[in-house]
Amino acid sequence: MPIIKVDHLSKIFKRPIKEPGLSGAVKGLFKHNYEIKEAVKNVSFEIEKGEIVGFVGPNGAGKSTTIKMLVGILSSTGGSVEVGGIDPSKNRKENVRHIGVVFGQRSQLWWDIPVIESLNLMKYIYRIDEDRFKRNLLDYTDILEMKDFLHVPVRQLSLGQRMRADICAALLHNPDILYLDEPTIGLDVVVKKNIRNFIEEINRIHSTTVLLTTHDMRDIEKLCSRIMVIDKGALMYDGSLEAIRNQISKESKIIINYDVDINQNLESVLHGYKYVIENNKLSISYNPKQIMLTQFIGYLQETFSFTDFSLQEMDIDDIITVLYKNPDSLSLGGGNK
Amino acid sequence: MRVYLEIIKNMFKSNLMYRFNFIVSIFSSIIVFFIQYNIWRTIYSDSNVIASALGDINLNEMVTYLVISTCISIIINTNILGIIEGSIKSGQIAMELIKPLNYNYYLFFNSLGDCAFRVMFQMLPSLLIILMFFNIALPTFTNLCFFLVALIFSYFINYLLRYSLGSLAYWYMSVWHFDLLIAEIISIFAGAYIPIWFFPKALLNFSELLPFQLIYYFPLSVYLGKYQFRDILYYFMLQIIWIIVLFLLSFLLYKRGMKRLVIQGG
Repeated sequence: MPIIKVDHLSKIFKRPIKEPGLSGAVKGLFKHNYEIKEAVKNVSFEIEKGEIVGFVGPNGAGKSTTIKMLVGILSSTGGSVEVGGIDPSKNRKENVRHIGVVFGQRSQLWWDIPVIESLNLMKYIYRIDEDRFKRNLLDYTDILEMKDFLHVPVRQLSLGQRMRADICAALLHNPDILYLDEPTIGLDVVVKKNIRNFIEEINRIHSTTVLLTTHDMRDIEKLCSRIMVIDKGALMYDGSLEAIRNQISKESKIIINYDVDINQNLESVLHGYKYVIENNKLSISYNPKQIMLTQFIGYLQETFSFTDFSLQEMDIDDIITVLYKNPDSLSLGGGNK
Repeated sequence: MRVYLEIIKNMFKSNLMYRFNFIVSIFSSIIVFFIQYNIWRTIYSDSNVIASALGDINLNEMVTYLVISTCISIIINTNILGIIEGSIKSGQIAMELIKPLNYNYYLFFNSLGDCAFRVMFQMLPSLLIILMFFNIALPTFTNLCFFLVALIFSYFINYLLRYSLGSLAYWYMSVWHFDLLIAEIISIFAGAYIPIWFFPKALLNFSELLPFQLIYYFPLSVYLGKYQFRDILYYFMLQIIWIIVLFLLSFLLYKRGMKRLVIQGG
């Protein structure tokens, strides 16, 4: 039985339109015009216990709105949500007992006092028994390398330290589900790696279900077997990461810096390839499944002399752009030659 | 229930982090007290007593009134309005709602933690300093007990009033100016600075209809022994009625506000 069940979920916001300027502001005091924004449109999915699912999409796509509805702090306009057999918006307190939430942009820690005080409070909030609490605290602070700053007030922590402390706080009660809304935003590579390892460990040991939103493709690659892509409120793709990977490799690019003018014979040399020229940079799209990269570069090197080249893989935002322009591109396995 | 005790402790510790803040707050209470004292001394000048609605009041009683009034203001002071407004405006309220806690209890015990801190680090030191220079009248034991009960009720009335105004933030976002308004209204109609017994008759009757006098004036009058037992019971009843009314109002605002919050988003 799936632990999260979302069925034809939608959310419509009604927001007053503020006209610009002083006169607009004054007008707004008396009369409101509303705009209707469909933040989430008819989204359905199921998540099994123990899965780690990556939830991606551009800013404002509806990821956070969906998570807020799953957590129960936002009500839906249509459709249904069931988490662990209960409706979160009707039973908020019961639902949040079994989940952990980290919103990367916010903190649930007490700002002025040392981290350890906030963590201790979790013991009482979730009624965690003493032994389990001590064990978890020891394990987690060890893996997350938190020993050095446990006794430092939260306001003095760096972003990476604060994020680790927040993730630790969200997991001390061994929640069934962990929602992570951009847990790696603005962090350096070392901390990101540390957090990824931790999430992986937690999932392995406690088989915690994880729903993760991120803009960092490496988070997804390291952690998620499944990925859901949302844009403009609609779910565009829900499936294995493998299919997305193939899509990435289909969309690889080789970028060549050249010195001499090479325009004249490009058309014949690169016949069948899609290419663009911009400030002495030639960018060629190719499909690594169909050609050997070394041979291809050798072939190019023979044809025209260049000093430098680089390879570019498609990142998550490019995929979303492709998906948005052509939602069928994944299932059809299309792409440029 | 243990969790709420821990919340009080955490709030206490948070306050302890700002030591400079409470040193300044002690100074400010004392300065305000001395200004008030000098004004009253000038008003009394040669006369021993001033007639009022509750009979003659002598300077010592007036000084006592000022001292106890200063204490009450330190005890009941709460920033609940600002806290509610801030957490709605910034969306931080979401971080409270993801915990299996009652949000209203959470806020209340937060404010109690603040109160405990202020009593220890603002009220007691200020009181000690003031008492080095002045003698104040002491109440009878019974009156002291009544006074303490009245003070607890006045804490609730003040808290619920400000909580209700703060809840307007669910609709209007920016409500901090209400805090200034209510503070001014309370300091006039509650008799924080000028005892209501010096009010003209019309104003006196008018303030009877409002809950504000129950916050300062009533407990102070009990302390000074200005009320008979029957009056005290009557005002206790009024306090309880106001607490019930304000409680229902704030609960309604909370329910409506939450509904709006979950529909409109943070």
